[in-house]
Amino acid sequence: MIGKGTRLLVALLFAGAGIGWMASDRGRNTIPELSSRNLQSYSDTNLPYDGKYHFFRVQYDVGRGSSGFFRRREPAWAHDYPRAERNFLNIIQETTFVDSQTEGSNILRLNDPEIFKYPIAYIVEVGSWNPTEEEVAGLGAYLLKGGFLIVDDTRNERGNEWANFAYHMQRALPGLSLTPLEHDHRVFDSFFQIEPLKVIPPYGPRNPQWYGIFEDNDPTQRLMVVFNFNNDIAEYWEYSDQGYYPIDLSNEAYKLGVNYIVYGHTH
Amino acid sequence: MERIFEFLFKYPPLFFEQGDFTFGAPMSVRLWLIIAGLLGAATVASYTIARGKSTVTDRGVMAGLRVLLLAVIIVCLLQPSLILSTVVPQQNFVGILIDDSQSMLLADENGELRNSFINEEFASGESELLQQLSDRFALRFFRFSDVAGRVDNPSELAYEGTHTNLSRALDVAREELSGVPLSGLVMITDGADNDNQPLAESLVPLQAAGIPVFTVGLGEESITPDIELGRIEMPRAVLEGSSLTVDVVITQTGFEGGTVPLIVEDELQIIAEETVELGPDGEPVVARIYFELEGVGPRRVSFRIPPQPEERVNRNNARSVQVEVRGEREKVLYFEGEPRFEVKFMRRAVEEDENIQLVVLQRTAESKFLRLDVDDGSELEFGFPTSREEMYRYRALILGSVEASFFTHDQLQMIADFVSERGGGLLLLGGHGAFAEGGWQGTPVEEVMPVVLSSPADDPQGFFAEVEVIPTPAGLTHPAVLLGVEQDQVRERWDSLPSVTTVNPISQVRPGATALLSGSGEQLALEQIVLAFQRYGRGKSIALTIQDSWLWQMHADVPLEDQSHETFWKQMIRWLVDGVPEAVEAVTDREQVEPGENVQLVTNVGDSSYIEVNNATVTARITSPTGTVEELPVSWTVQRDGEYSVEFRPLEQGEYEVEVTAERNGETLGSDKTYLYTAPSDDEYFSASRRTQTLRRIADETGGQFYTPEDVSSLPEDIRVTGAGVTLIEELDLWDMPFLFFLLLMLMGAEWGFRRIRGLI
Repeated sequence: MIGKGTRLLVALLFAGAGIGWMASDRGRNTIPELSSRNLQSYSDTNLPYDGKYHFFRVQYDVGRGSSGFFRRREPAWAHDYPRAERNFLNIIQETTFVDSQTEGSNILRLNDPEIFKYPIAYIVEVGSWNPTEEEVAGLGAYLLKGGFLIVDDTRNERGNEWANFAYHMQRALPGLSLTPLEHDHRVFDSFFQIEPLKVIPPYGPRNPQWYGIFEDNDPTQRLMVVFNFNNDIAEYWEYSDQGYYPIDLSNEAYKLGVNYIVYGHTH
Repeated sequence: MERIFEFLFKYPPLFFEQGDFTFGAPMSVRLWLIIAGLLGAATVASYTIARGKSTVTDRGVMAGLRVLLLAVIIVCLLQPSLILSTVVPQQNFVGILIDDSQSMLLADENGELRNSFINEEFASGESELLQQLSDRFALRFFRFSDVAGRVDNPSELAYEGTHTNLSRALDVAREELSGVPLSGLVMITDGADNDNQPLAESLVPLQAAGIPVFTVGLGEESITPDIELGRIEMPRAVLEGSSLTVDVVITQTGFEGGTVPLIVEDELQIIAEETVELGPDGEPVVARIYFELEGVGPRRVSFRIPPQPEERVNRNNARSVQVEVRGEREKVLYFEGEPRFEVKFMRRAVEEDENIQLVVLQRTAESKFLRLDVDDGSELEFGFPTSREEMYRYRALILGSVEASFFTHDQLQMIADFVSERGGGLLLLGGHGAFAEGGWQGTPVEEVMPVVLSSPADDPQGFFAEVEVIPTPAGLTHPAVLLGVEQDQVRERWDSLPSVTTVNPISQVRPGATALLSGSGEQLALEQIVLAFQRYGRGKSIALTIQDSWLWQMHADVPLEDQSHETFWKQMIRWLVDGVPEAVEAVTDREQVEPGENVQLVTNVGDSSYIEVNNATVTARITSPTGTVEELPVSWTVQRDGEYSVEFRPLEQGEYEVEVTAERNGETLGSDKTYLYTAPSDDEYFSASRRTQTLRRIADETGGQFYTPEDVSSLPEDIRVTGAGVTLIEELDLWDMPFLFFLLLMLMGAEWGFRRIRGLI
């Protein structure tokens, strides 16, 4: 769908956006840096509904026996927060016409009625996800009404994370199961034309796979959940402005994210 | 009253209306006036000179009475008379037009049929009226209903006519009797014309020829008690599965304040029922009834009210309407300027509707578009249509949040023409790029919008307000706003829906536009117009000024199973495409006729840009109920561009299919199908009460008279003095009118009485 020239432009755009943000926009973002001290105050940073697209990250509790904490002692659900969404929202703003809220993002639990104002949700580290009955019911209603869930940073090498996610999704959407996503699915072509296998996991070769949950288990129908298995695209988003990862790889991660957002707005 | 007049003045009022007044005395009137003046002066002088007990006033009064008395005597001596032109006996003709329609068999309150007057007065040889007419005139009888013609004897009438056409009857009689001296026409009817042909066109030649029409009105002016189904407002073609809102006019007398069931049947299956509250006697009420039609093809939808106790006429309680249920997929183009959830949720709302193809052109970035549900790779390949041919393929256009500057001037003009010329539906959604905020002021499309654009907000952050939406009174009965619930629950349903938001403050509709939804909220200074529409040219435009109707589906307060959002959008888009014309469109002048009646088939032909085509070859293929096929060429009418017409006469009873194809230079421009139902009509039982006003008008405008059976006895004499034909002049004395005699007595008695009162005797 897009040529080489466009790809180069996009790469430059991504890099420029990141540098630009670092140079001039750092202080404007109102999403506070995460620290263990102010975990309880996250929801206070949520911006009210204003008709724009808000990045909505799902907050949850982890299961018994699973710490869910690692690096900087952040909770599992907050992995890559807030740098990932902050960078990603700027990219969305720069590359697409999605009218997005770049002043902040929203963190909500699935039992919060506010989630229904933000039809695209993002959840990470679902290997340790342990939703309550209320949260499961909330997620089920959210997806059936038309919500779209992006699932990231989950891999089996840390335990049977796939099974944990699949189990809880069965609770939320009984009868609907995770189905391997064909590489020519519309979600890979909604804005950028993406070859999924080029979205290489940041942890090195890990056999990245894509799963989806479809309405009525029918792959021709609406994709309700997209699951980046053995991958972590937000990892790229988080560090795209710091040079940890090659630009090409970060580009692919951004492109996939942009596609998800455009797909979630139109399908 | 007329009899008293005739007693006092010797002749009926008509004689005075028709005749010229004159004096027959041999001396000149001036001389008589001199004599009268002298006599009067002498009288006054004698009363003035006389002395006695009387005062000056007494003498004045008595002198005045005496002068008046002398004046009356002088008038009598002047020999006043009327000069009348009367027709010569047996040298003139009178045409008698008798209503031969079914309504003549309706019974009056006393059980007597309307045609009994005809049988007694015209079909019976013993009738005095007929005798008097025969004595004076040569009579020619005509029968009329929807057709008219000569009849030798009124006893031959069968009263089987299913329509009444007064104009045609007058035309036929006038033309048939044009070669003979005609004194007038007598029209005996209830006046219930149901062919709706303008009367004036038939009255003007009669006026010009000086032929008076004497009308005799039969039947009652009001049939009580009775209920009648009047006009039914229903489209002739609908999309399968569309919710239909049909207005039915119900008129009644004698059931004031009661309730009756209104039943709708599709092929004998009840599909809707509504209890209708009746208003005051004689005042029509409009009942609104909702239903859906399933199954593609032509249908007869029947509306009926079961006969009510003691109702006088039952055959006017039901009506049938021919409607075609279309099964095509209607293509609607939704152009959205920014990825937003309206696209997703609108698509979801209508995705199961097999009759709607919502083609989405989603601008995702600068010069980058996402196309959804297109037919093939070439559709919208270069973005928004740049030619009329490309745009006019769609039946409706939805514009989302896209700024006016995106379009070229030609495209903006094309959008306006899409509505006004192509007749498409245009829906404008709220958003940052919409209305005034999107710079649409001053564009050709602004004129099309049903709302008034104000200046965009100065605030660089833009305007933003929460809106609580409620239906307006007009919206409470509109299918797009009903949300699939009963009418009395509509307001409640809207109250249960969550607030939405707008970034376009709009508080005024254009003159002629109708607001269906309005909204209020803390951030709104004025009531927000949420949904409004107007007709514009051949099409319609609708404005929905909110930006997130998807909240009606997604919001936490909306139960998962709630279908409000789906229903809203399904109905909105169906409404948007409803009545949008095709490039080639065929329609018959009536949807139901009787076997043998002529039908006019009118076809409008345009090319793919909807420009009228006058040099097309248009063919109608008419298939009768038994499968007989007839092909007819349809010719350009010349009066209007692109209009073709042909008349045909269906003879069989049942459903006719008419398929029209238009070609130009061997290339098919398009085709259309319409249906016609032929069956005996019950029209004669509708609005069957006597139309006195119509009959009076016919008489008044031609110089005739209106009669009822009670006062028709003067008809022969009236025709004699007012009629045309071969006439002679008659002079009728007036000096011996009883009135003058009584006047003399009164004046004498008055003077005598005055003297008694004043003690002068």
